[in-house]
Amino acid sequence: MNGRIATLTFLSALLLLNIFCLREVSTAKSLDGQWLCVQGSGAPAEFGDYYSSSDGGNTYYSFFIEVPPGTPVLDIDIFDPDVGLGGTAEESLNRDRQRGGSWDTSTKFTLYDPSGTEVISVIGDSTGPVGSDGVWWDFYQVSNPTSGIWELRVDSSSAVTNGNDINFFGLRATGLNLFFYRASVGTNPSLSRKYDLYLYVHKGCQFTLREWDWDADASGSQGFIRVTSPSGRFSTEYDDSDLSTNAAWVSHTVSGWTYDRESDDYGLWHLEINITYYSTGGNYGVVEAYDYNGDPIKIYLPSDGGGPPSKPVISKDYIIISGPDPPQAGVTSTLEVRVRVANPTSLTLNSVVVVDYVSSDVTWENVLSTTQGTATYDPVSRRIDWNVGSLASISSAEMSYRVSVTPTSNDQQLSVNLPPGLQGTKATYISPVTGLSETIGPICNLKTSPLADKQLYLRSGYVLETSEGSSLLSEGIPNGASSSWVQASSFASDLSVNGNIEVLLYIVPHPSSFFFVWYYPDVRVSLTYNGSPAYSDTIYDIKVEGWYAFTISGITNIPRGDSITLTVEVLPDGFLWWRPWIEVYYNSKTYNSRLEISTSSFIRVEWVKTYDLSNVIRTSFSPGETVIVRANATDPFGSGDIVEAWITIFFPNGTRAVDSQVMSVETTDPNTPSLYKIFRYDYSLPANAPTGDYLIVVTAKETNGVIHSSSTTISVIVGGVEFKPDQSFSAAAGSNVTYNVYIVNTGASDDVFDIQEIANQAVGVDIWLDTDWLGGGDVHIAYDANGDGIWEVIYIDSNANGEPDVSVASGASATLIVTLILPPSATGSVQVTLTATSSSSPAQDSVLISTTISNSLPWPSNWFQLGSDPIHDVSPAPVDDKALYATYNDTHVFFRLAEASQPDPALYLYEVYLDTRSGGLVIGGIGYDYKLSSDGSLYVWSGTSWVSFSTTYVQVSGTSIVLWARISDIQVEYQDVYILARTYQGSILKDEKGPYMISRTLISEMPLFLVPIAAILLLIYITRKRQSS
Amino acid sequence: MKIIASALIMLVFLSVITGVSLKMYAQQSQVSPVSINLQFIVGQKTSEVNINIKVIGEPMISSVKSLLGGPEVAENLLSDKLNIPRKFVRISYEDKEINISLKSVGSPPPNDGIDFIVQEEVSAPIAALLEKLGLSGVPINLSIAIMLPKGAEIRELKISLEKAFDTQVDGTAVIISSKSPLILGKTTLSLYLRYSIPGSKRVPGE
Repeated sequence: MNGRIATLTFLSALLLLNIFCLREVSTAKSLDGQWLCVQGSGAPAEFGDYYSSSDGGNTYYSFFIEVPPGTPVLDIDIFDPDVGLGGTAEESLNRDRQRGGSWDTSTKFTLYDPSGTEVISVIGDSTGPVGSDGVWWDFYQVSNPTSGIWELRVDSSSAVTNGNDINFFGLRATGLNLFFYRASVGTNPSLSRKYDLYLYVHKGCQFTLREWDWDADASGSQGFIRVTSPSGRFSTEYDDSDLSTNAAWVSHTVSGWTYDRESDDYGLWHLEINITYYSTGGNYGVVEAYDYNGDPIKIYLPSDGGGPPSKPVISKDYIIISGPDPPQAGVTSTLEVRVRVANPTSLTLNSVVVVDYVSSDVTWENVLSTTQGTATYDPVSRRIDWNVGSLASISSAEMSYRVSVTPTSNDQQLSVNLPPGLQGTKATYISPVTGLSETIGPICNLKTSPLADKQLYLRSGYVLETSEGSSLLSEGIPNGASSSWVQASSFASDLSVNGNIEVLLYIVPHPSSFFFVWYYPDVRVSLTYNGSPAYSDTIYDIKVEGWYAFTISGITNIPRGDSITLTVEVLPDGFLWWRPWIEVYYNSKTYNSRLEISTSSFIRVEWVKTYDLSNVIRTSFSPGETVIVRANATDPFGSGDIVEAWITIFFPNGTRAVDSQVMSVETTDPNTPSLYKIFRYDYSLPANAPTGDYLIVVTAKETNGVIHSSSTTISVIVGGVEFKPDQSFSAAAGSNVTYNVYIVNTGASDDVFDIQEIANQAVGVDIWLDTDWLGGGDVHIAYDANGDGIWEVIYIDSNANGEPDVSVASGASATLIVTLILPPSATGSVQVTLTATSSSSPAQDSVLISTTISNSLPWPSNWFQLGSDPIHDVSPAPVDDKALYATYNDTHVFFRLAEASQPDPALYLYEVYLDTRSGGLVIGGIGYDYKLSSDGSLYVWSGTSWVSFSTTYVQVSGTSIVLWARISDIQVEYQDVYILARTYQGSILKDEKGPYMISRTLISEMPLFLVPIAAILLLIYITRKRQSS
Repeated sequence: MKIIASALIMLVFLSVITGVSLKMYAQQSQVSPVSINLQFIVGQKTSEVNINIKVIGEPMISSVKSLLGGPEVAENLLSDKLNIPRKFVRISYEDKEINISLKSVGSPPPNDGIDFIVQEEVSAPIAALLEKLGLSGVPINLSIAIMLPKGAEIRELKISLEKAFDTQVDGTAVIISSKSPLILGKTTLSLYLRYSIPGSKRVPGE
């Protein structure tokens, strides 16, 4: 009974274990066919296995398994651990291979737990393990294994065997990472094999691959070794000409994958090994890798999916946010450095600390932020300590800081932080596997890029261009003759030349001889630009084909519009027809004959501006809005030399909202020479965009790779305001003039906006809130008697902060009627700036009202407003009516249409319709009899059409247009008088104001001669009504 | 001491030049209306040729004069035609002869890495020169003197039409004189000279 229970219990345990196995996911294993190998110690090292061989290392290979805490099961399988159990047929399957006519070799597989205690040991030979041939064989399995690093030794050294056979095997550790530092690889005769492995490169500016006995010689290809960085940006391959010969170690230094401004390609590098049989035999070798410090690099087996496992990395880069890029002598550039630590693993990293040292080459700008944890800077040691804390699985944290650089010369390269070593940038954390401290880094230091020269290449068609050609041309220049190349596009702006211009020519000399006298070509190179003297250099007796550098000195500045002419001349020499001559090779990548101009006149991002969707420049936006970013990039070599521009936008916390996105070209300077390109990028602020200042950096690049950056800042605020439109008009000193302006609440919630005011000279400023958009019903807001910004009277101050204000609902607008009381002393241009400031956010905007003082205007000064509109924007702005005013004198009646921007009667039509008598053209139930038109005619309705019969006088003044006609031309009957204003773009009606009815009681029943008096009475009536309210 | 040594070297050099000139004069056994004397002075860094042409006899003198004009005009014309700087062209018209002196300076022959080799077809350039002077087809007395650099060792000397010339080697000097007037348009004359200079080395890697 007890036996049955025990049996059942055992079966149940097996079942549970099987369930566990079914659930497990293998993340590290030898891919199918990618078997590693080990040779018996009796095989000499020159057979390819240096470490097993008794005349080599005579030792074992170690493989390490990372077992984190909480791992439910440790399950290690070995593929084909035997040595020849399958007989000689294994050889052609690219598995075990027999040497010497018998299987005489064994391999010992021994497992050690993290404490170094042996757990299990198994011998593989031609007899066993039974059932292990050509299959994944269960080597070891345990539940709840001790966490830490387990070691599996694979030993065919002389301590185990004296045989010389080859044992191919595979490894897998279910659900766990498996790495090693060295391994023997190989392939049997007439076969080849490929391995996909992963190098964990987490420090240094370079590392070294080392390989043994690749047998590379002239007998054919023995395969290759290729490494590719995690980003794929860098890849290098070593093939027959690079790989080791028989019984030799060769080291390959892998460098050039970090850059001056980027040190970020760390992580799991793809190590591809392709080994091919050698002559009629197999081919076997050893591979290992070392970091810059000589420490071995972990080589990981791939995950189940065939890709790399995940390991933590630290990286850094910088961008230049202001100043020249690359930095220039004597000019300060500001760099934003970003240090990032990433944890792509499935385990949390605890106690993550990053240490970075800032180089003494740069100046600390005291701007330091992190996305997680806290960072401090010690100005004495120049050390930054960033205490990141815990870094969750599949997350990253970022620290950014700013430094500035001011090179003393253009070719000076400055270090931003310190190179790999004690003070290199590194991160430490508590390993989630071992519980011990681990370090990643120090990584390669960042540096500034010295200013590069500008090249003008000799191109086909005898032109000089900033880009290289791709097909070789040669120019034969006879003795005494010359050839010239002219800059294709003249300079779009002045070019300053720093030092000499070098002309690099690839010259093939053709000497000539008269008996014992040899004549070699003397070559003179001259540069001119539009009438300048020739600047020359000569090289005598050119005997050998090659590159020749001509130094041109004396040119310091080439003006805009000029272009360089390069003349290459072979000086007269020789005798009779025995004369030397030359060929100049050019127009190809290899033979890129060119001018090298040392200049500080490079591409520049002149400005970066932000606009809203109405194309109005704004620097304050609300979440959910679209920000149009425009940047103007100029290049002295012309807009054609500007390759591209890209944009990076930083959230207020320093992380990137937009990361190096290419901008589109919106406009190219149409002039000749063409100087600039305007780039555009539309950024939609997320609905939940954090508030604060967003840094926008635009970088543009020219053909030779030189870049320049400029930046701007926008504020994202929950509240938002627009105050518009700017208005202007002309008036006489001592008169009143009225304008309509609008406060638009672009914020997400209702808001109260305080109003501030300041004028450039004494002027009364009286502000009303328009509530009916007719002549009356308005609310008095505030009054300043002299434009000094101090309100004499504040009528509305709902938030009781001592400033007048208006309340505006979210998305709504308030119409303000601003009357300026111009004193008799007013002169020139009276400028009043009104500012609306949100009381719930920093949102603020201003509007400018300009009045030109003129005492010889054709119209009288005291206008009365017939009506206006709530914001009701119409496009284009020159036909967007904002208010309609009227006035008169003894002879004429005047109408003023105030637009959102300066009217343009050449492009648009502005008309005022009058209903003064019975009949007329019916619009909206009202029959209009007369029409004043900006085309210069005064029209009367004939019953079927408008007939021009007199003159409409037209004058644009600021943002208003005034139309007037003789009173004597207009017949008024005893009825209401209606007025309607309209604007047209072509035949399309764009905006309309009215109809406005002049009060029946005041006007319509009066005889004609009383109309002016009635108008005055109307004005008095409106004014009193405002004052009383 | 150095001065004495230099003087001795100069004396030896002048003696050689004088000797060569006398020999050349002596060897012009048959008289031709045109004599051409090419003198090459090959140095370590420069090489020059002095060409002296003597024209005698009224018909020839008239022909040359009519082609070239007066002495000054002729010098400019020849400078232009021959691509020789004006200062290296000298013409003197005398009653019974015209002397034309030309000079051209260049570099010594290139080194093949071991020896210096000069291999030239002689008749074509001389014929071309005569053509510029309006003397094509005229029989000439030709002499060529070659002064190699000090220490030069002549390894090989070949000249075609060997029987038509007297050839003498005297240390670093080679003198080749026609025994009788030649009409170059009908004669192909080639020269091969290989010599070495102690101390000149093959450039590694070439």
